[in-house]
Amino acid sequence: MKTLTPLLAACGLLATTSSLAEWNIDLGNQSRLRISGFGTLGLATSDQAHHALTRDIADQEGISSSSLPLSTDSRLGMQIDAVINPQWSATVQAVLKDRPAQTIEESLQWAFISYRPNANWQLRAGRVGLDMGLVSDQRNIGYGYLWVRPPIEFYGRLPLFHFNGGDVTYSFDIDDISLSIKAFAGEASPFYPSTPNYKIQIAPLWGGNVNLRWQDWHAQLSYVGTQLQSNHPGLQELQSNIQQLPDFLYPDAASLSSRYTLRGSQNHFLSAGLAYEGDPWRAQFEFGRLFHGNGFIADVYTAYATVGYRLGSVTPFIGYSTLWPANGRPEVPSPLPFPDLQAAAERPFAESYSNQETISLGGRWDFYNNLALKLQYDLVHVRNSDGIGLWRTDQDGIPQPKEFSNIFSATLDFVF
Amino acid sequence: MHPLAKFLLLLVTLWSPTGVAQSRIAIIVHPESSFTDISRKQVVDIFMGRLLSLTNNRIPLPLDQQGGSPIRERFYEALTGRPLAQINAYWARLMFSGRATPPRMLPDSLSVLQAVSQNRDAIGYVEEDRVTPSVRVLFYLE
Repeated sequence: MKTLTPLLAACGLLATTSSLAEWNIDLGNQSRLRISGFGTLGLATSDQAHHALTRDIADQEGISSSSLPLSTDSRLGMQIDAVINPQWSATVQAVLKDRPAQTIEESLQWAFISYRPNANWQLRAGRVGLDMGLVSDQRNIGYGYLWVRPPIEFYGRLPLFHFNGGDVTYSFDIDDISLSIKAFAGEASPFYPSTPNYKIQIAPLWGGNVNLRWQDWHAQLSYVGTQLQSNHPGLQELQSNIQQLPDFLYPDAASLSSRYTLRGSQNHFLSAGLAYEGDPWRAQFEFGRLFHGNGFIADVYTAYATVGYRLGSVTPFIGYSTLWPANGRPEVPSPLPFPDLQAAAERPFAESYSNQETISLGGRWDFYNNLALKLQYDLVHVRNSDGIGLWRTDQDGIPQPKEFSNIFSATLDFVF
Repeated sequence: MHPLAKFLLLLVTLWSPTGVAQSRIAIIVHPESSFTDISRKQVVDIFMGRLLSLTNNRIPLPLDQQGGSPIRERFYEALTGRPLAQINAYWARLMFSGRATPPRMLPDSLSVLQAVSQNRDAIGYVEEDRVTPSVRVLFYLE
């Protein structure tokens, strides 16, 4: 994040002075190259010293009283669009942010070719954004939304931003209602949360959504499914340790060990969203259900609602987001004979489990063209007492985050 | 006029939200454009990236004005009823999620006039008093 500071400052300055027309390179009649970018300079702190709240489970740093001053919300993105003609275009986007590895491969958000044979159809192939929920492929673009960050309870469990493959969108109008239907498929290999240098293979990944737009309203139903192709090395070691236990010592060995298998398991995410973007009122609501095919991560319900009201160039807002287990917390069925093994067996259950809610109060101030300043206060209530979930901890064992945490955040968001 | 009345009139002029009366904004196309029949809603949809082609596969080429220019602010305010910041945020979401590319931006009204007079597919907007016979006015925004 250190290298990001001067870069972000330079780009923030650029946002105030740049005129977008200069970033367009005309290449004849309808062809052009467009170079643009976006970024967020974020500050955040909390009253928790040993637990850092993460933006999503792939986040490394998180927010705590001892986290870096330049917060986990900070990021810088650059995009090049090559418009060849009204049918064909290509887009490449790279984003620098807090993430498991600072490699070019990890920075590459999108790299795709888009083809529009006519007004109804669009096909994209390459690395494309994962469109699951109203803001999933816009989460890096702070300038695009009201909050300092998308609601953690909803988007925190969805660390995947893109996949390699393609999507097809069919759009049409019925009177003044615009409908679009999208289907996508591909594969992905993101870093596994809290495991350095380990990437999990996801293949296939598939899904789709239906969008309905009418005047200032937007409704969406979406689904995404994933199948995992690899096992986690740490979990595999745990599995073999459990399997070695003789039957008379631990009769549940076979059934417990099978619960840590990731290879072949499927995850499904279903969501419904409704947004009203009028003026001065704005509101957004999403509800989701996450199913996990393994035996240790709890299936959850997620939801959030935000309402904002514009007063001149300032838009205050209030939000609530929540995440709760659908079928309670999965448990190790019976105590293991050795304390070390018991702790190792417990850990995956606790690390992935969360049950919490957040009340947010904030404001966005559009004080200058292409620049917005946001302030936000979050009161996070951890309902459970046996999961680490969306937090990172620097302590051993399975220490609990405090029941209530206060998070203070400020961001400067820009596009250029 | 009585000096006091003059002063009061000046105050009213300064205090009124629009200040001095502004010229209208003309939506312009090429004199031989085939887009002479398009509606105000279609113009909104074209500039918001929602309408990519019209009947008979005619593809409009919207031309926008400079990022923070007063005319651009007035254009979107009049056309969509939204402040410019909301339009910019809308485009940031569309563009950086890789869904659509915003209209090409030109540095000033003169460039828009020139581009529209040279391209049959172009749709632009300029101040009413800048309109020349080289373009055709579709309608005016107050």
